[in-house]
Amino acid sequence: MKILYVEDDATARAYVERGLRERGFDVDAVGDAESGEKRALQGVYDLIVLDVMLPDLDGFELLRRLRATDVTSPVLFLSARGEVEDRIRGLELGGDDYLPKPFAFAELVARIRALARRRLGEPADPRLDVGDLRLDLRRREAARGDHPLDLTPKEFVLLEYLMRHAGQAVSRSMIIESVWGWGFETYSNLIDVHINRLRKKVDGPFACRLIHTVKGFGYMLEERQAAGGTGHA
Amino acid sequence: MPSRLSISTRWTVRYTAAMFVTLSLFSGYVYSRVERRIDADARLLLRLQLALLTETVERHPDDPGAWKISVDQQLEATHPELRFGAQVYDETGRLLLAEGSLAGRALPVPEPGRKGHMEQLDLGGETPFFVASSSAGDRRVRAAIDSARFAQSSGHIARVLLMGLGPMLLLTAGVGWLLSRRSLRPIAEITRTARRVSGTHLGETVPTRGSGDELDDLATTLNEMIVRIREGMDRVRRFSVDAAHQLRTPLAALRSQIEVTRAQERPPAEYRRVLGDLLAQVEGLGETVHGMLRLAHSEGGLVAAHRGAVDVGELLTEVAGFFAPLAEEQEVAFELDAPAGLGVSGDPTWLRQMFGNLLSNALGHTPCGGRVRIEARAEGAEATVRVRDSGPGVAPADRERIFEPFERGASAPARPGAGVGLSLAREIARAHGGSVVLESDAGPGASFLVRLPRVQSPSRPASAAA
Repeated sequence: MKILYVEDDATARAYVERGLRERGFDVDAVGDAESGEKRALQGVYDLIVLDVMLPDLDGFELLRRLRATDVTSPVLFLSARGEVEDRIRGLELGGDDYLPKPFAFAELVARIRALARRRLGEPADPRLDVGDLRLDLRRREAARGDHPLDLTPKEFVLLEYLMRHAGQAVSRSMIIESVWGWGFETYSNLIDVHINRLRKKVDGPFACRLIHTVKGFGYMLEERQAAGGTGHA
Repeated sequence: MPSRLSISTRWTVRYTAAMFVTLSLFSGYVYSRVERRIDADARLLLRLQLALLTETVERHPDDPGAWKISVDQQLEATHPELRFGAQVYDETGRLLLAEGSLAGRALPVPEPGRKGHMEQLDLGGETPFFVASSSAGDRRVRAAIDSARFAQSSGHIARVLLMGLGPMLLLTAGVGWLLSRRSLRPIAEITRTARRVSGTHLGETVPTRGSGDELDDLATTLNEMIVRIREGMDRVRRFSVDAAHQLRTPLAALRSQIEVTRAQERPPAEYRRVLGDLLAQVEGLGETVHGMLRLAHSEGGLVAAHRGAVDVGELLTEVAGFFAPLAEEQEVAFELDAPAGLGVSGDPTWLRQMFGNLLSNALGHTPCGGRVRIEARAEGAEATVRVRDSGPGVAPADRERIFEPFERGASAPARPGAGVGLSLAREIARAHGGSVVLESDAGPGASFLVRLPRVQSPSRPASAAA
């Protein structure tokens, strides 16, 4: 996966670039908007990570220019400025995600992966399956094996989000932004409480656990063992 | 001086123009009235003279000598410039007497029926004559006076009026200019003061004169504005100092750890441990900065573009729903009581943050088995929301202090990430034209009261249960 990373702070750029390379991403890192624009116009990138505050040009302006041409690569904004206004502005201009500085590196990686997946396109199938966990989006029904799960509407949306990102670590703030639609992450620790309730219903009575904690970061829904065990109440 | 005309100049020009129009209309009116009056006077005089002569002719129908005496008397009594003249004819139209300005002039015989008729006749002079005739028995009598003197009078009046116009306009302009300068002088003072006022120099006030007029109003309003700005600047300054102190301690700790660790070779496991510690502390610093930034932004004013009518019940239901599992886990009874259709104007993101902070605060201070109750009401023009908990409450000394950034209240247990929650809630309420206070007579526990101006609710929520 090819990423263009535009960041003017040299230290941050060097470390983030190195970190992304070590995670297996193919990264081109540049320090100003002009070279960023030149590279982006080649149209070879799967994703652009863009700092909002660049010395020569506002990151928003760069995005506007890119969107005015044929560059459709998803754009993830990084900003040290006021998160509420910047976030809204960035998304309005056609940005795809927004991450306030300082951010956890794992958070950046998780969001990059989520955007990459989004680019591949989500299946139109109204059913989601992970192991023996099934979600019927049309009938708003969830079940594990033959056992229907009694979920609240919010729990259903939360489970849907985890299943859409199955096998992928999602952070608490990603969950609160996507499931609740809130831009703030002040109470992202409260996500643990919501996940625990969901976990009781989804994993509680069953032998094989699907919702896993990613320590210090967030959660991942994944089938980790061979799906041999049939659930028992 | 800017190139544009000053207000006093513009006012003066307008005064003068208005005065010019008024004076012109007035002069025209005066002139026409006076002229008509002079004309009437001329007719009256002529009629009188004609009546005197007619009477003499009637009394002495065959004595031209008596007529001549009467005419001579009249010539003597009237001003020579009036150029009085008289003629008497007999019934056959023969001229019996012609005196004064009518001597030796051949005129048509006056018709008998037209008594008192008056006309203007050109008798070859510079100005026409007023001429009137009447009958006395068989005789016809005619009298005439020159109109020149009367024309002179009205011409004189016109000249006086025209000559007066110039000085009057000059006077108006001068007085108007002085008056407008005088009434605008306070504005100049206000301008000078406003020029001196800056972010660091907010001690200035605009002088007020206590006259209670519009300019005094303006001065008072400006003074109030300066006070508000000063208070805001003080808050910001205090906030910056507090923030710097907040960052200093953890920065010092970070620095010591890095320096001490680098001072000698250590096993890799130790480096990993220290890096882990550093990361945790940096995360804490990040959270502090987040909080400060959010607080600074709420003080800087919310983006008006994202404002709209918000249904309080719906918003509280959403926020309470988010916190409900936490309350359940802490075994705290959680109640929401909000009427349908209670609307406020605001930014839902900020309002959500405000109520979230208050709920988080309440849940954080309520022990297991306690109770948190949210109560929304419409009170007059306001929407009120009470967030009441059954925790230990707040000591009277801490009532205001807990709203200061980074203060937690001496009696409350320290909680990670706290520090700006309540001050942020208060700033958000302020930015929405409302307030957050800690109610003092709420009994056990703490009760925070949010007041926001009410507007029409955007929707009618079906139910408002947590």
